Amino acid sequence: MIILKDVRKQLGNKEVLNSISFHINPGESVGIIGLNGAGKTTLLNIISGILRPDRGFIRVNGTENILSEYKMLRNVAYVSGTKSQLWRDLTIKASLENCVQMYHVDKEKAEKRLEALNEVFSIQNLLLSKPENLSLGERIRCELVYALLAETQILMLDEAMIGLDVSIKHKIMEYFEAYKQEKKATIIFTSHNLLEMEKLCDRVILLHKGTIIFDGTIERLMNEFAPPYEMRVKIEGNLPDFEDLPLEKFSIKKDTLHIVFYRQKIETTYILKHILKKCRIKDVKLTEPDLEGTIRKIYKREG
Amino acid sequence: MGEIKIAAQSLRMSIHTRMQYRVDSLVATLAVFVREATNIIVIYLALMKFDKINGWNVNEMLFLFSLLFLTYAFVVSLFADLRDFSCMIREGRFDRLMLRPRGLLFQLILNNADIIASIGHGTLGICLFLISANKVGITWDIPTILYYISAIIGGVLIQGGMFILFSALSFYFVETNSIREIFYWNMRKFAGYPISIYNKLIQTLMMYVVPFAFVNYFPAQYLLRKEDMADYNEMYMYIAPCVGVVIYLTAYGFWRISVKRYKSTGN
Repeated sequence: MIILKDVRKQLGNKEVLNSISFHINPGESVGIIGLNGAGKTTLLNIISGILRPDRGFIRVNGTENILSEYKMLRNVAYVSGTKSQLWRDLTIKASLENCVQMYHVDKEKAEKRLEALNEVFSIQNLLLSKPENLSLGERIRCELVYALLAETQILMLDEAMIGLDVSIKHKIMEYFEAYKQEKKATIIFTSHNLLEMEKLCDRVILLHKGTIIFDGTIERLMNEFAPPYEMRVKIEGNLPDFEDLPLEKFSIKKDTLHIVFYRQKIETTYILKHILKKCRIKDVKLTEPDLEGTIRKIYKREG
Repeated sequence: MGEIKIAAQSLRMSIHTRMQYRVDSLVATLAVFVREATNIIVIYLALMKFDKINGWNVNEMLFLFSLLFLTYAFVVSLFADLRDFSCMIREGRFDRLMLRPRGLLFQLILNNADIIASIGHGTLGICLFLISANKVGITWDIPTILYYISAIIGGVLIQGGMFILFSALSFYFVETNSIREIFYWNMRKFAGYPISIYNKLIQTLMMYVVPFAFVNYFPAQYLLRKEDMADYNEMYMYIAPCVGVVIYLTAYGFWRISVKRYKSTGN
């Protein structure tokens, strides 16, 4: 379990984290969302022990600073898009061999695992290269293999999907989902891609200017903060009366109705049935609010 | 065992990397050798004008130099990453080492070994030893050989300890290269000559602050028994190989304390 209570961190003159408190249960996958400079990386660095908080309480599986215990470190993998874990002067193969040594992975098991990882991450042809000779996407793939080879119980992924192309990203996301289920691993994930977040995380923490402004499931986030649904309905016949319906907005342009509403207040089918009482529907286009729109709305509100 | 395997892996890769372009590596090694040998030749020619310096003849001086070059050949292989450590701290590359479940020093030792400098200095050290060893009146019996090997190990540990110490200073100060420049590289230049030719301040520095005297002067004294040894405690000749262990362990202790002060830049 990861516990943070009233954690504060100042870097230079900037208060990067201000009174951060939350806990992450074993096996939970949590997404940290925030604008640039919100404190996401600092938070991960504090959990990993690279940074120490100025104030507050932190425990990772009961340990205050995981860096001081090899046993704990063997259970944590931290992949960062900006900080490489690979040996700079060694080939990827040699780095992976070192990883097997350091994390005490059985040699046979490691070989089988590497074979399986290679199916997903396609790094076979990169094994004899050095990190400096790889593209960003290739390096990230190797970083992820390095982290997953040790099969740690805690995975911290900080912008760990940058540079990956769409086809492989999809495979990797599926792998992470399976990893989460199989290993009951705790995953902490930061990304600007909310689709990835939605797919992988049970829960999200929204950071804004170093403070948590939301902590809960994506479902709750959507229920509480999602912008309204928008529906465009092409009609034929008389315009129905909408005054009695709990809509946010409605307007008509030529033969197309533009309706804005919250699903919590009224169901889409109820509106459509209401329209059908008076006229014929030729076409319907429904725009559902997505996570990105929801987050945008929250940040707009927070200023 | 794991640490040793990782260190060996790093060494293998360093050799492989440096030797990838064989002709370039050969030229670079030769360049290191010629650069250092030229200095020795200049000193040798200058010494030809004098019969002796404070009782030390040319061959004895070359023997003194040989110890310096031989020990440095090991130092530059074992501790190369510590040589450029302040740069590693500034660039934030130290963070990744901290996250690995392995000793920090073990990750640094043998990593990025400067094989070219090592071969260049080592070859010169061996040449100087071969030229001088038979002309300085040493009887190479087993106890002498054992002492000589211990002195080399001690010399490597002293300089390695200094590298660790200077690296640990990077946890307190942003820029430590100038400290290293003054206390290591400049003092090393002094160490080419018998310390008895310097004033008391330099002698004190070389014995107790930056103890290069225990890298070559006192071990050479044990083997050569020159008259100027009367100015120092005779015990120094005998304990010279052990000084390395003490310095190294002290430096390691200081490193352990200092590393706790490390603050990542966070990015």
